[in-house]
Amino acid sequence: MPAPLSPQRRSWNPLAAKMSRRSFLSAMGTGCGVLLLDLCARDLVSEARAASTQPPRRFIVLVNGNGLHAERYRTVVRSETDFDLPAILQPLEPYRQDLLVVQPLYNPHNREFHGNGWATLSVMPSPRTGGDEFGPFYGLPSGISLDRFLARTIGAQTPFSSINLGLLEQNDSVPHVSSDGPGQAFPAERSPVAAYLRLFGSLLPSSGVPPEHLLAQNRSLLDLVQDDVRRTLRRLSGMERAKLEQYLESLRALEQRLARLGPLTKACSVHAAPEGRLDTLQTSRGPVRPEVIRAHLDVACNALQCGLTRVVAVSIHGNAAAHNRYDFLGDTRGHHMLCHEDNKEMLAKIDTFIASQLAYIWGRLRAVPEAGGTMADSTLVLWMNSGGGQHHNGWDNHAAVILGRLGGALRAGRYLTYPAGAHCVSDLFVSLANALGVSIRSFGDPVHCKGPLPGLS
Amino acid sequence: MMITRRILVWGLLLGACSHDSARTATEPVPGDQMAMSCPPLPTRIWKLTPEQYSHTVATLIPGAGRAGDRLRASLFWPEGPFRNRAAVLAMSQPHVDQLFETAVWLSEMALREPARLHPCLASLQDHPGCVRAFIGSFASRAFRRPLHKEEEARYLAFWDEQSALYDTRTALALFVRAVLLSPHFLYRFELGPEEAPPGLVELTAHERASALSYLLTDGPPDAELMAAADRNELGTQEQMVAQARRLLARPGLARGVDKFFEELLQLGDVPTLTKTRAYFPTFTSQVAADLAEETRRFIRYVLWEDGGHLHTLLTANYSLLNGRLSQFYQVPGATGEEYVRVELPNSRHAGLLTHGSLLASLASEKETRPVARGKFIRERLLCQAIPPPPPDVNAVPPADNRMRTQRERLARHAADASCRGCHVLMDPLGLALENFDAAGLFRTQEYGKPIDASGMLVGVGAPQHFVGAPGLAAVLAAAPETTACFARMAFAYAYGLPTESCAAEAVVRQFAASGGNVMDLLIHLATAPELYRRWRPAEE
Repeated sequence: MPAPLSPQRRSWNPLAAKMSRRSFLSAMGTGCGVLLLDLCARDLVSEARAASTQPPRRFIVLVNGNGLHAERYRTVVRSETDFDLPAILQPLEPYRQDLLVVQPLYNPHNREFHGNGWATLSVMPSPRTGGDEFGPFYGLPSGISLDRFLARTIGAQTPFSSINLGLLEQNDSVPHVSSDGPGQAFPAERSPVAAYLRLFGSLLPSSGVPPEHLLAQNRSLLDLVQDDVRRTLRRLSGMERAKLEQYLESLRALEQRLARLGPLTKACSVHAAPEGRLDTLQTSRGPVRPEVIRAHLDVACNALQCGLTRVVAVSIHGNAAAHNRYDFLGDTRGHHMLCHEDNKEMLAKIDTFIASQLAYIWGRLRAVPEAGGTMADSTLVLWMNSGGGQHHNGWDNHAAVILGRLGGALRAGRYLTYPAGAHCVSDLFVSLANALGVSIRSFGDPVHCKGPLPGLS
Repeated sequence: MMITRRILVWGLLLGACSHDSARTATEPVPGDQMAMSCPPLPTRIWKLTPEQYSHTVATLIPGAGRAGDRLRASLFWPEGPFRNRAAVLAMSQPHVDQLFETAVWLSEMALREPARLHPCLASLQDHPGCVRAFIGSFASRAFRRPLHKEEEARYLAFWDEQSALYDTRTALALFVRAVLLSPHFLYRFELGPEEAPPGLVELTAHERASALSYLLTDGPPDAELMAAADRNELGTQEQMVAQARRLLARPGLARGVDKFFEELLQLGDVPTLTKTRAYFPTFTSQVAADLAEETRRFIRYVLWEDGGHLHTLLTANYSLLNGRLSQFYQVPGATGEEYVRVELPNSRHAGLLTHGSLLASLASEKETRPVARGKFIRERLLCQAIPPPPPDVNAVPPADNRMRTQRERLARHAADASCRGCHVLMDPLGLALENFDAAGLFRTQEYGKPIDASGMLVGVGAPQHFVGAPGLAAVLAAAPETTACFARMAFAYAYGLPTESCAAEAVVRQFAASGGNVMDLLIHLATAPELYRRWRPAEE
């Protein structure tokens, strides 16, 4: 019998379900240290690809929340390749041959009341750190998310190892979906205008100084700062040391980025900025603004196209259980309440809207010629909902909607049904990483990851 | 998350809450003995919050404004009520990008008018002596300590190198950026003397100056405090107390105190609160801003002019109102813009709990949220955590027919044994505040039915009956658990640490011994010798 608990005094312990650094590393399944990860991860990208002249592989993940109930993606399946497209996926009808639906998958760390934003892409437990009457909040991630892992592999050579766009203020007290490791959240940019400025405006001051001077100046500046950090590191140990190690790592990445931006200036300068009004249009608690989502997708596709990045994560309230309304679809209750009230019609409209965003991305990628084909040939798009089932407690019915063949690395045009409870989401993530040329055998919580999902390629 | 609806139905809480076994917050422990036996806090580095960044930059670069507002990716999920948790402030890539961009922006702005940085930079002509003096003084002010010889030499070498390649303005801008990206600027160091071996260390005079200053003013040490540190005059508690009293002399300086209460009471969002116009036509955005200001003024008044006791904060039958709020609350006594002390009816009002700021923020746009109000009191005033409902509950709120009172709607919580365990801790406290609607206005009826605001406080000593907000406030103010919790919260804020630790308990005892004097508590947190004695771990 469980001991009756008293109303506990609150302890604000950040990593109450603390993971040691070591268990995190083993959980990564790569044996790479956090700081060595960059170096080490690059080795995971197959040599053949690195040496070839093939276009780079790219990855886009779109995460939304509040659960995707199985009844909305189940359909008539006569065979893997002969199936009726679920109604919510109708926007993807033109791209049926590139489409792969994989279900049901479970996420063992998503069982809580409102799902767990951090677990969606990391498949790791994250400690509950508080909550209100609407459910628990998950304070900190405890693993690396798929997009950030791929950022360190396929994205390692680009100015921005990955970009992360969303609808929440960066410092909003709600978990986002991307993280670099235990306690290391990777926040999403809410404003497409700010995202554009960061990516395209170039980090360099516009003082009419020749670019080679700016490069040299920034290099000496960051060398000095890094020297400063290294000298300080000697005085620190343990967690204190880790804080500055993270700083050092970010500074290195910044220096590399500045060096890599120069050659891309020409290709990237053709892309225009989003309208200024979109800067503040989307508020954390206000209704969902489709024009902001569209602007995010344009910024992301442009950045992918001109080589600023290869990995994009877009969170449309991927943090579990947002209340924001989809006014433009006729929703007067907010996504969260629609789930409570089981308003099937409105929920299907929202899902269809998300599918139409995938269709938009795919259409854009297919319109850009590259290496005798199009950008879509070398890109993988994934849609996950942070809840795998009806709102609340939906952890064992996740569906993954995927677009992309990657030159045959994935066999698309299929609707795959696995035995219930047989495969963890992380198995799919291993397969996707493999298809992108990153050879890993495990991802996320090693207890649940069985390796690549069979039958995908 | 936008919270628009109340969830009425709670689920099964398998023994997660039980007030019978409530732990008493203060157990009698001999004070001195405990204080002696507490393990010292560890040495550490503690990152400036965006507000502290703003306040620090403002002393270096006049006209910089709130530069910290540009660091939007800095704070992530605030652990507990306070956004300054030392363990949580991380250097993610987006944050470091923003630090770099902000440093570039600040340096370019500063160099547009170099004289603002240092008078002798006015002409940007070659005054080697001037630039050298500027470099030393700028970095030293930014780091809140004198530069080491070797540090200064490195900055000068950097300057020599850059000024040989580029014009003076560019070279100076690069130097300013380097300082603004240095860990010595971005972090508060609490490591003790550099040469000290692992083991027990005392924080240096300059580290103490920063600790004192950032706690009380949320900003860097002023000239006088720096001078005291330079003269090594912060070694005794008396010297520290004198400085603390000086910084606390004027409420306007004590931004750290404002910040603590703002975060503890969740006042940050109050100015942007909105209410459904049809129900609350007088709740304008101006009123929302005024409500936040009322609470800030009230706290300052109690602390600086009315004895400074927690008891007064919780039970005072007055507030500080301007003309608009006087009209809003329908309480005469103030006109115009100025905030003045206004006496409130004893039978209705009692301290912070009946402030419109708190009541309106713990409500939806239309209705009160008694469960949230009760939970707030449990968590923020009593430091008792309420677990969330278990995963297998689908809490579907019944349709809002605007007929039943909150008490009627919450009746199921009391009737259903599986809900009762936790809700008996929250609902009665929230229902005690039902005389205040979602805008924080006094009322005696809900849907034409009289409001019953009586209840029982359990889980805090012996169960106690109370009636209404004043009754609840009196019971809370008298409870040792409330005093203890406040001290724990203040400790957590002051040190960026969890609320629970041996050191926190020592502070709890000090606060109780002072009779709950908040000013004494702040001075204690800023000056207690045991908090400046740290443990430096051996290298890994």
